[in-house]
Amino acid sequence: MTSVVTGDAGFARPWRLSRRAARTLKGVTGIVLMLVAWQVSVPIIGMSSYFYPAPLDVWAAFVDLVRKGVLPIYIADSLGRYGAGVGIGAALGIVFGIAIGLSRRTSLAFSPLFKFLFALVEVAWIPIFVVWFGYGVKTIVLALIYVVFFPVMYNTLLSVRTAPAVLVNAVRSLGGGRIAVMRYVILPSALPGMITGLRLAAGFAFRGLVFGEFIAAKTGVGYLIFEGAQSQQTSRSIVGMIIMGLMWLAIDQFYLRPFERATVQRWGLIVDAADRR
Amino acid sequence: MLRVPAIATAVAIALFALYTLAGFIGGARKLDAIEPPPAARGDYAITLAFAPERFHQQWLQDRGRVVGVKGSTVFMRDVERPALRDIAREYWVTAVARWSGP
Amino acid sequence: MKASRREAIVLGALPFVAIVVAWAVLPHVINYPAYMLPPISAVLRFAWESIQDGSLVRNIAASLARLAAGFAIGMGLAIPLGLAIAMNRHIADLFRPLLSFLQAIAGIAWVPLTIIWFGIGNGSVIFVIANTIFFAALYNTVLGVETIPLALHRAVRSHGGHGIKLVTQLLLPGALMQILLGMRTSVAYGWRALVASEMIAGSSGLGYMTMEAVQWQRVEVIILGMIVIGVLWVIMDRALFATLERRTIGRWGLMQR
Repeated sequence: MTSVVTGDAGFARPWRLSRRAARTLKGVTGIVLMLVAWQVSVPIIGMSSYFYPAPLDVWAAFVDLVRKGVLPIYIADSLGRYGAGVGIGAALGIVFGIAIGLSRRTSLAFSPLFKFLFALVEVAWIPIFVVWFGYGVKTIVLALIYVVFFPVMYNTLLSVRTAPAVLVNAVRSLGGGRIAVMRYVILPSALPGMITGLRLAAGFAFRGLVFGEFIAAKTGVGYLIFEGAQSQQTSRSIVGMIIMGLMWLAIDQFYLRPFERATVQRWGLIVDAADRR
Repeated sequence: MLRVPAIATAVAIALFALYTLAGFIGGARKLDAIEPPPAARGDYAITLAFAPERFHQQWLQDRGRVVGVKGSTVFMRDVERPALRDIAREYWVTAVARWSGP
Repeated sequence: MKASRREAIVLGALPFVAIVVAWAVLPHVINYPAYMLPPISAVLRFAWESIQDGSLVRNIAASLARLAAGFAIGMGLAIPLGLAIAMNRHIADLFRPLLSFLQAIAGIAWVPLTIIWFGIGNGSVIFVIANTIFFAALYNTVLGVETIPLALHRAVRSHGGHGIKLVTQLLLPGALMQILLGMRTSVAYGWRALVASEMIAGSSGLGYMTMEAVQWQRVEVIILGMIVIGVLWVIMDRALFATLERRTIGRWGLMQR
């Protein structure tokens, strides 16, 4: 998105970098500048690498972790837990959201309960899950399923409730049965809500994953961050944090944003222009 | 518009496939080097490229019985063939040799 | 209208009633260790006790105080820094990728580091909250300045506004909407960061109280903690969101984009 503050000419100037390339280059320069400043500040601050590791220490730790096969396994484990939690939670959320949203009575009945359960902050469920299911992967994945289920289900429900009655009647009057109504009206209407809920849930779930791995895991990126600090290898902790950031950027750029663009672009107009009940 | 996720997933799967394939090839090479060929269950000395950390001992413990560590070598007993294959396929395992026991 | 409103309330209450009934009946139907799900009376009794001896109020106060401190530090640092960065388009471009990366790891991921730096206690918890809110507010401030309409920018400039005047007359009010909009989600994340960091690095507060009970397997404490954490958030969200909505739509409503 171009900044409108200073206003650029609309045409491309062949003797300069395209605007997008220039921005990317500037962004990279920013990161490089920060790394240089960090590295330079280490002797100035003059603390041990336990307190204040340098970028070079972090790089060395990264190489070490890859060489020893630790990092690939940790990343794979974390991704697996995240995928399972988000996948199952989203699937359940969509199914329940549509099922409950179809009937006015059930929506009215369950909405307050879900609002209440959603308000129960997800990190607050980890202690009780630990008591019930112990430490381990099962607890983490269950917590993730919970975290993902409610936003997805609630947003899907809302979307289904606002499916335009006009279209339902139109499909019915053209001879469409329940399946046709589902296919042509309900599901497309539910889609924006699904994606909004999914985007929200994915963010909460990612933080929940890292937190859960602090407490209840023996492998994983979150565990790396925790254990690095515990075993006084602070550089490893920072490697974990950077990997975590990169993972989230990848998830957001490659999956969440394209999904959102696809639905908003395809259905945005329809949802806005249609009647609402 | 779903092109980006599809490409990203395809690339991820391709990379993973390459990684696994490389593991298989390396693993086969390490297993072939064992004289005599491994039986259904046996004792082995697993040499790593570095001194094993707690993570590696835990990982190996899930695949057999770790009885000792000396330098970069981990001594294990009662390792079954499938587990031995898994161990050999990891890139941080440099060699697998028969061990005559404690 | 009245009948359907009553219907909504009755229907809405049904699941809660069902849960309470199921909770009361469950021990008689399934056999499970008593500690896993104490009866509702145990939760109520603990609630009463902890209010009586003041421990609940103390924990709530400690948590809220930390949230306030973290919020003040985070916003106080982020808005000036954000305005400074956004004043120059090139500097903003320079830092934007870095800022969105840092926002991705803001908050909970810093807890182990803060334990190294500040040990267990207030310092760690407040740092994590401030960190969460700082990066969210910084990002929103820069974004807010960027979405100021060019016409407004030119208008202020043509009236001789630059430097500090530019900031107070144009950048700050213009970015304010985005900042306030982003505040709701950043405080949501901040509250979660508070609870999470109290669980690991705290020595008092709601998160600490809830997590500590795991060791003693006192599930009634955990349940009460969860409910209080949730209720407090709803109250804050309503208070925050309601006032924000009134102020933004009321004051700036005409400035619809």
